[in-house]
Amino acid sequence: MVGQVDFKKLEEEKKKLTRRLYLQAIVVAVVLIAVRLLLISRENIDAWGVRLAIVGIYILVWYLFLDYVYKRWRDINYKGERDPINRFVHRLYQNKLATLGLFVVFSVAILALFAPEIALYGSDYESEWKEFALMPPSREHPFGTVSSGEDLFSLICYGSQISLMLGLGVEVIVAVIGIALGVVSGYYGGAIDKIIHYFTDVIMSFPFLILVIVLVGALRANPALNERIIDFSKSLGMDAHLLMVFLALTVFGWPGIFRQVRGQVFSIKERDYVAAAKVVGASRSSILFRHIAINTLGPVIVVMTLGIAGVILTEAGLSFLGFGADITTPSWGRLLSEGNSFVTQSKYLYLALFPGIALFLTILGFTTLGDGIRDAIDPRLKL
Amino acid sequence: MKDKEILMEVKDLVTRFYTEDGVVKALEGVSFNLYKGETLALVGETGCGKSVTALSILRLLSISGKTLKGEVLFYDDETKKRLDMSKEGPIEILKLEQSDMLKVRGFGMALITQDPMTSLNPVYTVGDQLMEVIKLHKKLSDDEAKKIAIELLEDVELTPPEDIFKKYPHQLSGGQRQRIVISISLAAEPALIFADEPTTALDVTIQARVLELMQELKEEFQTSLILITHNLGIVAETSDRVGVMYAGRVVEIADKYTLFKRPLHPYSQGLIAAVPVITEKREALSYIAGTVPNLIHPPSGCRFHPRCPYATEICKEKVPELKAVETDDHFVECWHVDEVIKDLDKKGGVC
Amino acid sequence: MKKPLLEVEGLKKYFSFQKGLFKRQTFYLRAVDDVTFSLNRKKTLGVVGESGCGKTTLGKTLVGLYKPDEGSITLTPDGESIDAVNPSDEELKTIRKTIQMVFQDPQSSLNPRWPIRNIVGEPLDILKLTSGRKEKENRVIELLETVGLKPEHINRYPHEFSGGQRQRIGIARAMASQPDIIVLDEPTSAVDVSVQAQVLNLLKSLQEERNMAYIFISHDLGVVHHMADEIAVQYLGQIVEYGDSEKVFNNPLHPYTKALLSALPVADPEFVAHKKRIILKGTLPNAINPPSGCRFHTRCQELVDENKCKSQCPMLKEVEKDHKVACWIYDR
Repeated sequence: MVGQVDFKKLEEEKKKLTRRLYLQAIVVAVVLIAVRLLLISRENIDAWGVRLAIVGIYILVWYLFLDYVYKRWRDINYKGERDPINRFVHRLYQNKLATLGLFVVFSVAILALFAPEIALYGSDYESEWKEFALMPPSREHPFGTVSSGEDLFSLICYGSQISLMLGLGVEVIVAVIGIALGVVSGYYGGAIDKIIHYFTDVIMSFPFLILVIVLVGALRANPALNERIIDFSKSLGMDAHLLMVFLALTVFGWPGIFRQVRGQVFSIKERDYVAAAKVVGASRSSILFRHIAINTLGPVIVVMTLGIAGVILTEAGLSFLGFGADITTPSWGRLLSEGNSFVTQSKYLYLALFPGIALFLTILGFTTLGDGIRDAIDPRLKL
Repeated sequence: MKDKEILMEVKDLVTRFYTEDGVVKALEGVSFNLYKGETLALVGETGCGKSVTALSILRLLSISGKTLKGEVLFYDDETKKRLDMSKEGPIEILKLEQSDMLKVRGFGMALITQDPMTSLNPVYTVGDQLMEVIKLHKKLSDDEAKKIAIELLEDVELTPPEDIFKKYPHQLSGGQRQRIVISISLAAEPALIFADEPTTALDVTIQARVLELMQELKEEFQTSLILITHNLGIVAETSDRVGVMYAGRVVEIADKYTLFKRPLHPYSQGLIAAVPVITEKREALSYIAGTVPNLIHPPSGCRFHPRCPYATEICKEKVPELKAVETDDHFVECWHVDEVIKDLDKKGGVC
Repeated sequence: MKKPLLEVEGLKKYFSFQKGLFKRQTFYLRAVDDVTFSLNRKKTLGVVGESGCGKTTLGKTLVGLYKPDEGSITLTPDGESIDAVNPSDEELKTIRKTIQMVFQDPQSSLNPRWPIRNIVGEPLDILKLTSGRKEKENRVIELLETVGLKPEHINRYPHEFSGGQRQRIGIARAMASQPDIIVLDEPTSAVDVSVQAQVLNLLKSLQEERNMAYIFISHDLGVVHHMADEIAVQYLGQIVEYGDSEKVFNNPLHPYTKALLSALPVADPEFVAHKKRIILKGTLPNAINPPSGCRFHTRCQELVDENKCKSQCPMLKEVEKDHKVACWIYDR
């Protein structure tokens, strides 16, 4: 061994530096978030161009900050070349399509986070706008205006919030349910597994779209109930029918993750480290979640990413059919449906074109990203 | 009395794998000779390149592997006839076209791998797979081929052969499957068989029988065998000569009695000393310090130098060459082989 | 006479299968069938046999991964005996501090998502052997150093280590609770020869220092010969020969032991040239429906009394001091 290096001291040093780094990072993050909440808003900065520039700079600052923190962290805690996270990132970047997907997803996320700032007009409807109904794209209205006079570009910006919130919200809840049930079902097997699995099969066999259509239709036919639901959802700040869609997607969306996790648990529970935990006396819940569930996450992320694409698509479809968002909610699907009525007249093509492109790009972005993550996690599974 | 007629000469094989982690320098100049009718064991630990050597000679490397340099000279007349080569002298395997290589594989050289399940097609019966090879080898009718297949099954002691003939691989045990693979490899009567860890997946008692069987068949069919293994016990039981490999080179070759009694390369000595043997009781097993080198960034010069007690400056700079020491068929590559011999004589043998 | 550290009597573990058209028929896989032995401190019991003989099941039953169907396991770490088959909660805690296990496969014996500090520290947390982060960390570093690893390894993940290092981490984890007995299930089968030598040396020195007993399960007779003081040969769930290691190796009595020893490839060509070959006919019978009488009779070369061997199952009988065998040849 070359010289006697005091490894314990080295570890202490590393820990001290890391802690200091975390502290610095937290302080800067808090400051940045405060700046965002207090300073960067439509009210404070009127001119759109200036606003856009400031948002751009703000994002750049965040990127540089995170990049710095990450690089510093890597410097302090050098992990070597064979780190699986490193290789995963490397493989993902090599996949050009997936990188593009990542870029699209990232852009939509920025759009959603800064929607009020990026949009040209506010989200509150002003009755004077009615005069400007159905105007083609121009300098004031880059995407034109819709039949109510609202600026389409701004609507698309706000619409991104709907899509992402719905997508993430549904998938996170669905993941929690799916993982919990999948782990329990896979680990215990036997009767418990049979019951849960049967129940899941029932859920899966439901004709989802028809169910939602029936639900929403039945609701509309029953004004009293309808009123109550509308009030309830207003208190949540959501569109009533959109809430229905959200609930329906959540209730029926977990079988996919359930099956994925359950299958993985069957093989994970046989592994030696699970046996080792049992021999040491780990509690049942500790084994289920800290040992088993944690090892199912990789493929679950893939299913979730693809799931978000599915949610966005389904919501768009339902809103298009008129069973989702109502006139007050700028869902891309609803916008598409409005544009659809005008699609035969070429001068109004833009009404359907822009929401359509937004949907198309976003869904494609999530799908290619999901595929890319799957290939990057385990290239052997490549087909 | 075995006359030492040479069957294959391997000279300076260099094979590299191009992976996402870097270039793996798997073989860095592998050289050895193989004589007709003998069993040569290639021994080494994981990563030493013994399997890669077989794959390089058979030209079965995966797409990321390339054999960059070297010569493989194959002196088999049967194969020459098959390839319609009238020229004098051996076949240069590495220079053959892929289409010619197809004629060499199976008939000139065969391969038995560790896991019989991957070499047997699960959707065809064992008999069908045997017959396929037989009919490719000789132009025979179905009936004649079936007769030969049944005979081969009897040779590998799969009884009753008519029953086994109709079975699918999954209906047989591991030992039986491995025997099928052996019989398939013999069906084409090759001059040389590569056996890559053929018994690692089998139980000890089955392993003994399969190894013995391979020896008997080798005698009967006059085939040479290159046995690739990490198990020194198997080497002692079945081989005639032994080649010890380390990090992509053959560091010592000798006949087995000499190698076990008088290993001259420091790595061979360390390897033999580390194996617990039933014939003596030791307090502690001596082992080789350090770990197997990283083949993407291998050590310079003699690749064993970081772990070698005899290493000096020259070992770090220049790769030693395989030279005959003590007798004309004991080869060692080491700059300090004289010192090693001195120390060994002081102790009077191994351990 | 001091009570042995571990006493196992008549241990049986069966697995049941339902087969048949309406799942009416129940078949039993007799993985461990009437096993009896005892173990003292600083001693190593080697359990040998081929795949399917039940040695892994035996190991897992001893550490509590399976509940035995019959028989008793008694642990006496310090004066008081504990019934390990039906322990109380308090006793269970003591059992976990008494007997631990090291697993075979370095790839799957460590949770890939956990850092080493958590892997080795888990027993410390569960059994409340340390209090506070600092103390736990110190103890983990201590354990790592005991097995030849370095303090900075505590924050690393399993994939950053080689197979041999991972086995050592497994050993460190098993040692965390300072057990008196460690069950080692093929601990070196998946590693190279020189790594195996290091691990075996480590195990031996730890045993000396800490006064531990080992149950060493392996199919590799060479390794078992090196490590074990006593040896039990297992065939289809039953112990067919049991005794002092030297005596069994030098004078094997049971026909299966003889065949096993003759089949073992020995790294000594001169010895091999003179070895007597015993080739077993047939293959391992199905463990779900084992042969009647002496289970080995279908492959035995030395049937002494055909009727007896086929119908009656022999019991372990002492033929010389510290050497028992279950075979009708020695039991007239």
